[in-house]
Amino acid sequence: MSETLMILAPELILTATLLAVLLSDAARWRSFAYLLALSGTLCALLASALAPRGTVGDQLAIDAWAALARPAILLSAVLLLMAARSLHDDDDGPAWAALLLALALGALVTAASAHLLPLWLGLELMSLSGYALAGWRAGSRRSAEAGMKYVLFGGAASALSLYGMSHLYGLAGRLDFAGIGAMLAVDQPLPVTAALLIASVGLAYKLTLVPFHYYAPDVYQGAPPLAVASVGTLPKIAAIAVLVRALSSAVPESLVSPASVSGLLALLATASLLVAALTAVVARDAQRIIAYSAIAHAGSMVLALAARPHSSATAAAAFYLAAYVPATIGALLALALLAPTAGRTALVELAGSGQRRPWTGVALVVCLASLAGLPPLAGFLAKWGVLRAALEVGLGAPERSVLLWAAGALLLSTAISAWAYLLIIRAVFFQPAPAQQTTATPPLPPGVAAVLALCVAATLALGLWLSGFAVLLHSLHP
Amino acid sequence: MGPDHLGSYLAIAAALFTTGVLAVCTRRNAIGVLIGIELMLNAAALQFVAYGRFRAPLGDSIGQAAAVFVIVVAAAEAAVALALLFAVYRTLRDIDLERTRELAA
Repeated sequence: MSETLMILAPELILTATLLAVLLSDAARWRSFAYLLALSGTLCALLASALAPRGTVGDQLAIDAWAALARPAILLSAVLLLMAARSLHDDDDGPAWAALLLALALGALVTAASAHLLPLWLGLELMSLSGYALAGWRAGSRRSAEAGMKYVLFGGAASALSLYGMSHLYGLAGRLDFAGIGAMLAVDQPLPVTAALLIASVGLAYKLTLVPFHYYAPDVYQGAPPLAVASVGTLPKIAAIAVLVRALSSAVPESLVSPASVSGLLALLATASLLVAALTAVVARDAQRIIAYSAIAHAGSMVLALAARPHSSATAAAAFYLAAYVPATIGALLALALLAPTAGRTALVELAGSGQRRPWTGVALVVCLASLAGLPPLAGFLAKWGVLRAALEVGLGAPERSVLLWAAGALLLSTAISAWAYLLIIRAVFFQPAPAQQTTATPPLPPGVAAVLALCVAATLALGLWLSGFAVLLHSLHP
Repeated sequence: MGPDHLGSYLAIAAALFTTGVLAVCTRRNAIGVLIGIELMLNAAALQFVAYGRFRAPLGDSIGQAAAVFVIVVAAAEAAVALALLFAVYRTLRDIDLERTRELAA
């Protein structure tokens, strides 16, 4: 019992913090909400570094991936809370902090789940807080529309996924990954496979994989930038972590054709990479371009998992996440600071904004260059790791040659989407600002500046620290 | 255990689910879509309970537990969704999905 408490210490601390933040609203201590949330999340971060590994029943498992994902989720939550604290009024504090903590808690549960029921609950916890964050700006048409689209599409995807899970429960009799895997190892009846595919829609939705991506561009465009940074990063870490666990326990090695699972993942990755790149170049809104970038990057991460027999494939996915998360948070924060009117990030409205805040503009360029995969930034090494794993597996086995096509799609998508990132940079630095703009630029809030600097530093450091990949590989495959 | 009525329960659940999917796909009013989602969730909950009663080994109560979780989550989801729809209605005076579109490339 006490060992279970030790294993789940981060989740329990975060839950207690969430309750305390909600109480701080009732007790009218609104100005303390962010401090409370920050200190609680830092405690949970410390606990996640010290907590032992182990399993809780057959429902949760803190394995190598969860042990990496938990600190990553909590660290991102700390950055997002710091940024929110200096961008928002104290009045908003309790609500925003509570929603963000609930999102992080959902991500922790999802990342650790080894059973479909906690997986669905974690996904729903992330979704429900994400919907509210997306529709945060009450009174703004775009934010309200983003929230509405998110909740309707998300609810339908989650209900579909749950229906698949209930069939799986009836047909396989089990909901834990290991039990499903043990059953599939003997035989793969078509209804079970179909139920498993339907059940995985919820995960694909959270990862914004084509064809479950259709909500992302609208939601990312209309939602407040900090909300996009939250729903675009924490659920991705959690979804990739649980996908790795599901693939390694529910899809056993003895499966008749493991290549078919890998082929399906490669197909999803190819579709995501190409669709995102081709639609990103016609987008004329910076946050919409970030949405297409999220779709394409999800494709790359899934491509890494498709090359899973390769020893470094899952480490490539982990490194990809480590490169993607700080660059995305940094880019969205920089956009929030550069946009002359809050919530408006159309390229026309961003014109010349780099002259108002040159250093923020430079940070934006670094983050976008990393997302585009330019050396010597983290994004380059991340793409290289995925590409190498996919090529080596694709060349090594003729039945896996679909990975070669997916690797080609990754290269093509990188080349095409670089144009979309260049469009943002051109608008910010190389287009004249509208003439009537004479209002003085307020000084940069120190909290946001610190978070932005941390994101840029992480992007540079991960790109220059060449042995980082090897360290990650060692911690996943000791 | 009594006679095995699993088939009838599954048929009802399938009918509920299909109705929900049709509502989600064809309704232009956001409340209609929301009702469709609730029907889909409840079809899944009914199916969990039915499988738990007739197919699960003795002492396995995951099916019932899942149904309770689904009911709670569905209520929370309805609350969040209605709050968001209310926000949309207050700003746009409309919740028709065809007429509330501003976000586009």
